[in-house]
Amino acid sequence: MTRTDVDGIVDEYLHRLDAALGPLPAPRRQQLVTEITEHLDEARSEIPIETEAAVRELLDRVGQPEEIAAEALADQPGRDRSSRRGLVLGLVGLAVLLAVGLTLGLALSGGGSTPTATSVAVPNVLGMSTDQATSQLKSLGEGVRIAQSPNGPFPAGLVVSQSPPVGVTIPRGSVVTLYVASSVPATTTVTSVPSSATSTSTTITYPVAP
Amino acid sequence: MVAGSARKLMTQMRRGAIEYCVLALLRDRDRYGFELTKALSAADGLVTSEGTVYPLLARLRQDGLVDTSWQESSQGPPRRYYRLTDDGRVALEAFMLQWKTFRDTVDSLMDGGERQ
Repeated sequence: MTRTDVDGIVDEYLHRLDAALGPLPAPRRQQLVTEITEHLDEARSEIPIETEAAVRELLDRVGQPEEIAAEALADQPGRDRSSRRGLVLGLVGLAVLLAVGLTLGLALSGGGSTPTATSVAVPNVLGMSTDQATSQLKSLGEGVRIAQSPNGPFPAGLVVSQSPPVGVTIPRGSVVTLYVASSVPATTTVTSVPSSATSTSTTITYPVAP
Repeated sequence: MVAGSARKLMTQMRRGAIEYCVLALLRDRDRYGFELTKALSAADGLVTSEGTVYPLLARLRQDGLVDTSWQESSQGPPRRYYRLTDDGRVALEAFMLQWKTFRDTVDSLMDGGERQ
């Protein structure tokens, strides 16, 4: 069992969740997927050895994506939005995220983003290509995790969201998750870590039980 | 009344009450999502799965009862913390008052019923 296999299972789960949340407006869907991703990261950090069984059990506790989606859609009036409106809302959502991120960044860094030896402010890599974003983050010493986001109107390969968001101060060497727009339907599991980022992803091999 | 409708009622009551349980967990301090879901899952039969807490948090945030901020963590990356807003505090207090009255009323009728 390698770390990458476990990542694949988690990514597949997040794809199912994203697909199940389809009827939600893009910003709300993105928000939920981001928060569940953060939850999974926390939960995974508590597992001593990430076996496939351990990760599957963890996902069971989090629940079926369809069940989470049902809860999310319960209070969602069945309005039908034209795709144009969806796009506008998506863009407004991104702009708001960006503004909030910048404000937070300014507040946290006390007006200027002065990176110290141990911490760094998350740069804005929204709208960049995956390679561009990865190399910028790596130049700051950050690890990068790529998650595919089947995110409607945006061209494939562009970073549509990032976690933690822009401007937040994080310890040097932490991992920033990039959500990359994918033209691939949500059912396909793709974890494309570009060659430039391979050096940051560790592959741990566990002894195989006889 | 059959057993099925009692179960349905409990489901609805649980659904309604759980939002206030989240607010109550945030009364004394801010908590991050994973921490909140752990506390709620520990309470027997309140949530069906950890993941369903997040749509609920989204709803509370949309209603302005909680808001979020990023806070440093001693280990790992910063975390998204949930905080009770002033509106959230008012809503929680109002619910607690009504819940206690409701609970006491139902309890006393149930007890009276048993004694007959």
